[in-house]
Amino acid sequence: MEERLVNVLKVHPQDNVVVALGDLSLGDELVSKEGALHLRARQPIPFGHKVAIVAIPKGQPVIKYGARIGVATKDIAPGEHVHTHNLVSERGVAE
Amino acid sequence: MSMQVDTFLGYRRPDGKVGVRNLVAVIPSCGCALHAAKMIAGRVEGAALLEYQGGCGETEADIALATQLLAQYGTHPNVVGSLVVSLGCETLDAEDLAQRIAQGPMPVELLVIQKVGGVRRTVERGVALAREMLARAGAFQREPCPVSELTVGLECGGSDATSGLAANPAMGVFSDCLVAQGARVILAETSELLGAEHVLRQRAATPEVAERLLQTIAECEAFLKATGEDFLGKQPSPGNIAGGITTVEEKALGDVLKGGTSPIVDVLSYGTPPRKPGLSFMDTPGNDPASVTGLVAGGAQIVVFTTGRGNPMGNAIAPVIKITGNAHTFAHLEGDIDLDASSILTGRETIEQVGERIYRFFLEVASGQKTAAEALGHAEFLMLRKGPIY
Repeated sequence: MEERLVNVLKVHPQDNVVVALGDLSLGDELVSKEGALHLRARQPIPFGHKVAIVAIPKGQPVIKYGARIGVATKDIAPGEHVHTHNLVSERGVAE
Repeated sequence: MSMQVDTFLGYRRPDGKVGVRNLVAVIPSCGCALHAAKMIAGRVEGAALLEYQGGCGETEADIALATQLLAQYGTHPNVVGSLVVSLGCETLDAEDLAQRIAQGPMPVELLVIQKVGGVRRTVERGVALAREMLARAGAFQREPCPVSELTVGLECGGSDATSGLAANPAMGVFSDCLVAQGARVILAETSELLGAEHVLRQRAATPEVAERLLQTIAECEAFLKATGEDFLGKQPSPGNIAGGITTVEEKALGDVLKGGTSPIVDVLSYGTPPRKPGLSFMDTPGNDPASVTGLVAGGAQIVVFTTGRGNPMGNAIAPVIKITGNAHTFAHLEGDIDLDASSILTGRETIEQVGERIYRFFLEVASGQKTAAEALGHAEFLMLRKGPIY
């Protein structure tokens, strides 16, 4: 297999996001230690932030650590930054 | 884990408990006596100020909790004597507080500013008494003690995405080492567990413990919702969000890894000492100084603290060990953090190797080595208050 720098971490096999292991630039190809994800960053992604690795439709859960960390507030494309602009908590929201 | 009994060099007290530091606690019984207490502590090397600011115009429940917890500080194994500094007219019963401390193995003195005759005389007398207590404590020599004598608090603060990937999993390995040795380990910070209930349910030693864990978290969520405010901006905090943590669920799933894989044997209210060896959960707030104050009140001789963004805080009477999985934070906040766990993310070390490194450093700190927070003079103390100030 071609040697490429690992730049993202998939925490759990069921996750639909990965974590940037360094600051990613627009167009960077995503490579986890399992291999290339055949996906490019659609925006600059800061270190530690999340990138979608599959399409996540609005209203669907975002999965990290193999568990729900909230729901998408917009359709999220593979390679897109996942953060407060498109992901919201399901907990601790005032009634 | 190996079956060998690991030891550290601690101070065996007359009641059989083991301290890791020799400190005199200077305890104001109200906010109006705090300045005199601060002056005493500032003049005596080895005196630790408990920055208690309540004592008057508070609910009975808050006064009762503070009295109980201040007494637990006064009888904590890291404390070799206590000075209660009272104004003389406060609601908190300073005499009762001193009597409770007197039931412990170490001496206590009560100084009432309005009786002694002002702040200057109180400080003069307090400094002399604190020095006497420390001189007598010189008789304690460090001796080998088993790790099972230790109660250890687990805390995280200023988390970022690295916390759940590196520092917390390594702390989990460390926590499992302590549990295997028969120590008491306390997981805490209720508001940071919303979303990790399924993990906690599996980890609970009995269905009853699972029930109490879930109830504690549900009460915390209800308490917050009753304020009419959202969690966002508090859990996670602005720094957590900048560091890549988007939601409280995401924070919780990283946070819960601190407790390793050991079963959770008990659920404790704020400041309550663990009733059995193993991993207990204590209901504390996400506010770090208040949470750590509760862990130490519960008898923790040492607190181990993971951070991502970089949090330098300590505690008045217990060493606080800092670990980060963020290489930039470790380098940039030079001198604030004890251990760098970022090697887990680069693949240079495994989670297990870093966990063992934490354990070895922890044994040195228990034997007297100062932490970064101690070297900086960090000595935080923040009493939990649930009610208003009148």
